[in-house]
Amino acid sequence: MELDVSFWLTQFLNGLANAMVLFLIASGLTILLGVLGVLNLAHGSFYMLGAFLIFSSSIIKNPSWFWVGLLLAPLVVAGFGTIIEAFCLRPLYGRERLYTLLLTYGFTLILDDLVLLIWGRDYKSVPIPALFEGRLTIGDFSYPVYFLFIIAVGPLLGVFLWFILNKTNFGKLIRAAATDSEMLDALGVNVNRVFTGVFALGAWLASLGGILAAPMRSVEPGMGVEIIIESFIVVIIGGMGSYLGAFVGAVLIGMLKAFGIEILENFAMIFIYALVLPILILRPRGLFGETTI
Amino acid sequence: MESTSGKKLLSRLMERIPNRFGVTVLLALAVLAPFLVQNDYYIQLCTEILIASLLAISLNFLIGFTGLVSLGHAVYLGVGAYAFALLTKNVYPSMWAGLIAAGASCALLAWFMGVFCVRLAGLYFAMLTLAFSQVVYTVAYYWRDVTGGDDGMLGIPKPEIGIPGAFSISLESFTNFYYFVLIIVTALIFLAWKIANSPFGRVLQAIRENPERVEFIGLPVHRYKLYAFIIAGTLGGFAGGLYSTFQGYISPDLLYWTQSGEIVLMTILGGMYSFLGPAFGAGMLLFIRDTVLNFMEYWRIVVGGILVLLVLFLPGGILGFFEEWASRLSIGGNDGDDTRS
Amino acid sequence: MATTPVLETKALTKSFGSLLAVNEVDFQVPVGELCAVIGPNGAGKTTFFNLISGRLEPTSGGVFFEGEDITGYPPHAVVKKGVGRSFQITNIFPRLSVLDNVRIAVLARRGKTLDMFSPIEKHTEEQEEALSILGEVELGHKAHHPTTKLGHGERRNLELGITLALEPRLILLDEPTAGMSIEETSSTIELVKKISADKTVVFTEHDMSVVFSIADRISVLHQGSIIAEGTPDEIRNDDLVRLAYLGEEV
Repeated sequence: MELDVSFWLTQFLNGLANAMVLFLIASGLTILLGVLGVLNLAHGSFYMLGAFLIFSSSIIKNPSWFWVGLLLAPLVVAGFGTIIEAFCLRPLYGRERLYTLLLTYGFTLILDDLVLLIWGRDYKSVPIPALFEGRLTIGDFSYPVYFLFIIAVGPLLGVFLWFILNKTNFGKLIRAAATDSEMLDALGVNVNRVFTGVFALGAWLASLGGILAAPMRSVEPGMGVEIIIESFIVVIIGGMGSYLGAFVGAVLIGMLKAFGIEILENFAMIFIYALVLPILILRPRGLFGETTI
Repeated sequence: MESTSGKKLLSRLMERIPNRFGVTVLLALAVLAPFLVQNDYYIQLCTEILIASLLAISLNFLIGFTGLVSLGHAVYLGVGAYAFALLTKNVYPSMWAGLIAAGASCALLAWFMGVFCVRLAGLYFAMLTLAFSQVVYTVAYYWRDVTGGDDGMLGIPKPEIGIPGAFSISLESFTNFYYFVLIIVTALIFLAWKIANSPFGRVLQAIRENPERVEFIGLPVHRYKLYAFIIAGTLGGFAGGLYSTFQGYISPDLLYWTQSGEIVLMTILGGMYSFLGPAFGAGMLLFIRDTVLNFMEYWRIVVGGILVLLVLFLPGGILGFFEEWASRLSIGGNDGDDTRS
Repeated sequence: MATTPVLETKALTKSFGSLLAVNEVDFQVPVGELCAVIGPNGAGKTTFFNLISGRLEPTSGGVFFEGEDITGYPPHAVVKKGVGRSFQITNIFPRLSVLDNVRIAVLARRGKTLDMFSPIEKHTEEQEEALSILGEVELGHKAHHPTTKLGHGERRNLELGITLALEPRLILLDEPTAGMSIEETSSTIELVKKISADKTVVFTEHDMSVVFSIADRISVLHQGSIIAEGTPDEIRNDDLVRLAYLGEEV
């Protein structure tokens, strides 16, 4: 019986750790949808880039590799996002949504092959940073410290994001742009800069998700197109543009996957779709869709 | 002002002649292709382009005609392919029965999905089609007993066609198979073209332009969207069936969302507002892939780059651009100017 | 009052949350009249039109067309009954030709839009009819142009043409002269007059000189309720109306 409890606890914590990574990606995706109305298919590629960049910095034989990578890689990816937004996405805002969708799809293709070109096709593994090696053991129960670190980091970043969106000037501008960007423009605010900032923030978050996930998973070129589907599902459940919704959706999906696997081995995703399809059909704006951001 | 009628006559002539002429040349090229390329590898490439053309044109019923961007069109490619494979391998090895199974299963699937999808528009529509197709992908991936899971299905036959007892034609030769596909695809594309130019087709275009106004000329928009959805799905299913027998091997990858993205890409590459644009795009995409693969494996960088440039500078697609250019020449004024906006 | 009115609403009400946009409106339009619904911005005119044409479902009350209850019918069903509508914001099919804009409506009325296999040009009867309607709205010479080449006033005329092609027995016109120049306005007024000769028309309009010059009857909406009804003369002299509405106009 005791064994059982620790087993379920492990599943629960695994689900939570996966949920936090998902939340980082989905929160950026959902803000992009809410503010720019852009469904960014390349968002998964930012996540992938983060993972590969941390892999590269793990090659450096210095104990600080993880922290240097954690600091620099998201900035690199955010810079990349800035360029994409400013030079390619910006001219498309006045046009049909289809074009922004296609553009981001184009970048998905480019980035996926670029990663293949630079890092090759084989799976890579990233070591767990020295500080979080080992397991935490309480009585019969033991659990990897690194996973606990992620579970702690998720909510911290959540609060940080909440702070940015609700307490800073930039956050106020983002929310104003989500409601009425034309009005904001009329008030003399440089809306383009706000949009670029939002896109860069999204890229930053996604790559951070990739970095944190890298030591838990295998790093491979197809990881971007895979994660984007799960992130969409999170966004749909939570409601497009809803930041709180992204958190709730991510936890829900994390749990469903962790426990779904136990109930019906291969069909965990089926549970998720069984949840998503009715939401899309009956309540396309999602559970928290009314409140933007 | 006196020249208006003359101009109009000229412009109408110019509209018709290049179309008729172009289509005739295209067909002639298609018929002669096996003799022109003289090479099994390229005959196969041409066969694949034909199938992809049908697939892209079927998707364009939604994107270009009805204004519905589907991100799940690969579902028909996959389901059509699996239907063909399952029927010809497990039940009865007949080309016609296989193709009918592919078309019919996709018609039913499209009907079922369409009932839900057509009530949504824009991004929500795109997402729901994406979600549905991923469900089917998941099922195909894990339902090993029937689909073979991620190993896929091997040894899908190319049953011979003909009248039992009277005559039969083997499709095992690349050339024979090419002509078989050419006939089926041409017939189906012709059918699609008929539908596109019918009153029904014009209603779909009107829905693309302004769905609310269509409701206010007394037509139930949802129902028309549903019909478009079913037509697109059925034609896509035939393409899937052909693909299945063409490759002889299928896997769940056919259903993955990136495959759907590729079909959208073909459609846009050629031009969604021109009827044959998507077919042109399908040819281009496969040709580029083939050419680039001769040098390096990273063909997606090239195609992605082209897509980005196209979206930024030629949103009407490549064939769309040439058509517009031709019509501007023929009208002689700036009539084409604002059609791009 | 022996004949049934073409249009009748009974205690028609629409609320958005706590806001009563249309409040218990009883409204009748007799056959053949040209009837104006006026009122200050936000009085509920457009909501009222949306309720009649099926775009919105009423919170309570009913809509009757030629005596038949059409409450809650979807827009396409209301159109099929014989109610045509034009919009305040020009509502046409931009990338179709001028002819096709009207032709689609003619084909829809004649129930030929499910024809999937014969070319649209082969429906010559519908084409002739569409061309003659275009002639009526003074666009005959531009039939083969793309609609993007039309001026603002011409687009409004085209929209009217689409509505006429449905051969409605009742036409709802939402601000037919909105955004028009003076010349365009006067030609549109002529057009509305011509149409109303053999059809029942209900219209909203912000230009009071237009309203008082052509309407047979005027109803004044104020905060979702009808506060006055009558001939232009009666309305002009109605104290309540003067107070509520015309005070700042005249």
